[in-house]
Amino acid sequence: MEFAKLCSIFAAGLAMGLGAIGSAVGEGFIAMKAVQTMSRQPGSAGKIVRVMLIGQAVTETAAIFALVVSLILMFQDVTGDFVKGFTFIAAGIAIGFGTIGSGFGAGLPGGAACEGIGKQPENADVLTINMLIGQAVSQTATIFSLTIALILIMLEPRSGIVKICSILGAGCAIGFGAIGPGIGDGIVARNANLAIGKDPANMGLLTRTMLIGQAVTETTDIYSMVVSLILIFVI
Amino acid sequence: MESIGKVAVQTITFLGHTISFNPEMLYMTWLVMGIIIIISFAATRRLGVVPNKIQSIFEIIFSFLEEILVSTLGKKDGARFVPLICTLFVFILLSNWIGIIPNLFGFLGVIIALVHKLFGGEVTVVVQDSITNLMITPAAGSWYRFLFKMPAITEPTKYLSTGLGLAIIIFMVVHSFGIRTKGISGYFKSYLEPLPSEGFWLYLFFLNPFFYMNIISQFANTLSHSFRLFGNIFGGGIIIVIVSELLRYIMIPVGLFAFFGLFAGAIQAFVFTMLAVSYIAQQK
Repeated sequence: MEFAKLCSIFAAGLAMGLGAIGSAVGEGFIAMKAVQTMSRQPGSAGKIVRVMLIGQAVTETAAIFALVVSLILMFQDVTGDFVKGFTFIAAGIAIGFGTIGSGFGAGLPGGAACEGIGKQPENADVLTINMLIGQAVSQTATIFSLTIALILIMLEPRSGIVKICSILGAGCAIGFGAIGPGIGDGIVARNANLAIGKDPANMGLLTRTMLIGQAVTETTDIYSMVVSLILIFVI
Repeated sequence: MESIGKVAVQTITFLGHTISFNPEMLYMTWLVMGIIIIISFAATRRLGVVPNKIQSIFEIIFSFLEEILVSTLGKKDGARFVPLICTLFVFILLSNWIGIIPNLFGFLGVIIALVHKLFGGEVTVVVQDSITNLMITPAAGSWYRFLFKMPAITEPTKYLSTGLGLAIIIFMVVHSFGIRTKGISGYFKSYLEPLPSEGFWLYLFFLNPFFYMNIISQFANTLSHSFRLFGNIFGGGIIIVIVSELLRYIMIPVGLFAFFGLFAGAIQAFVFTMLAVSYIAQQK
């Protein structure tokens, strides 16, 4: 087999193996909060289970992104030289580490929504909407990683040892850079959801502030993406 | 698929300098501006106490943004920035949403060309790797050939230039507002924070590490402001292109269009506008 194809197979395992970490922890967190709340409020169990399942489905998005990249890496026809192989490994690193933060972060607001429903079951709709917005914005870190990973898979690089290093560096930059912002976004969304669970009248203000806070939290991930794009296209 | 990471570039020579620009982005920016002008004209033509549909949409956006501005900047300064912030929001929102329109002209051209071939016209059809991926070239003199040359509709915000241009406008507004409210000395002293700006601290400002950090953070704000919009829209566009390619264009990924086009587009338009408001509010 060609070197590039071998790298592609290895990167598929790397992407899915690392990509499963974050989402699994996040989903477990939602289920933990749901069970805790249910033990105090068994009457609203139906609503809690529904929100738990919706939240878990959205939390899984990050792992599904890793799965998509992994499937592309496994089944695509690979043509390319020695350097092309390293773009696949870099793509695997980018999406694999990139999903850890967002997967865990998306779980945090889901847990808060379950707690809020335990306190005031009539707020279930408001809490679900805010949870979904918070989770969707928490996925931004993974979406940046996915973009870089797909660019790396489709890239036709120049040859040379410098290019190998710059490609691997691009994968590491966006992969590790996405861990913190993903978790940070989740913390913002969790606390916004907890506050809405206490007093849903403040939802407009809290959702607005949550969005701005999450956008600023993602700034470091944007720096990672800028560095990755420079490493891929300029150096 | 080959188009990822590449932009169309057209160069012109003007007074001995070569200027290169992106024609797609310019077409799309003018298209968005034209749509906004037409819709706003239609909305304000017959203003009524009881608003009609289009007027009420504009009133919702206006009152929503005005309320936020007045609560963060105060009544006088807030009212001054309402036109800028509303225009920014409507422009970015429409720019992000326009990408969900499929390539109608190209589709129409393909249909007409195929019908033309059915009746014996001179159309070359090359089947590429699958039956849904056809390469169709009409004969040189046919009347519908212009449909193949129309640019595809893409988001102007997909290119970094749009986001950077808007962020630079906000940068200039923020700093001119800062000089206007604080005066030049007050504006300069704000860069020495959190250390005191009196006595020898003022004269030895170049020894103050926060002076350099504050300057860098102003540029970092503008950089992240523009890249946030670009990264989200560009990333969504790339994901849609690659998923469509994997599906061989048999299916349109409607869910992805709804998420990246409508939802993420609206969120990013709101976030860009609100960050502009908070940067302005920092200078107060």
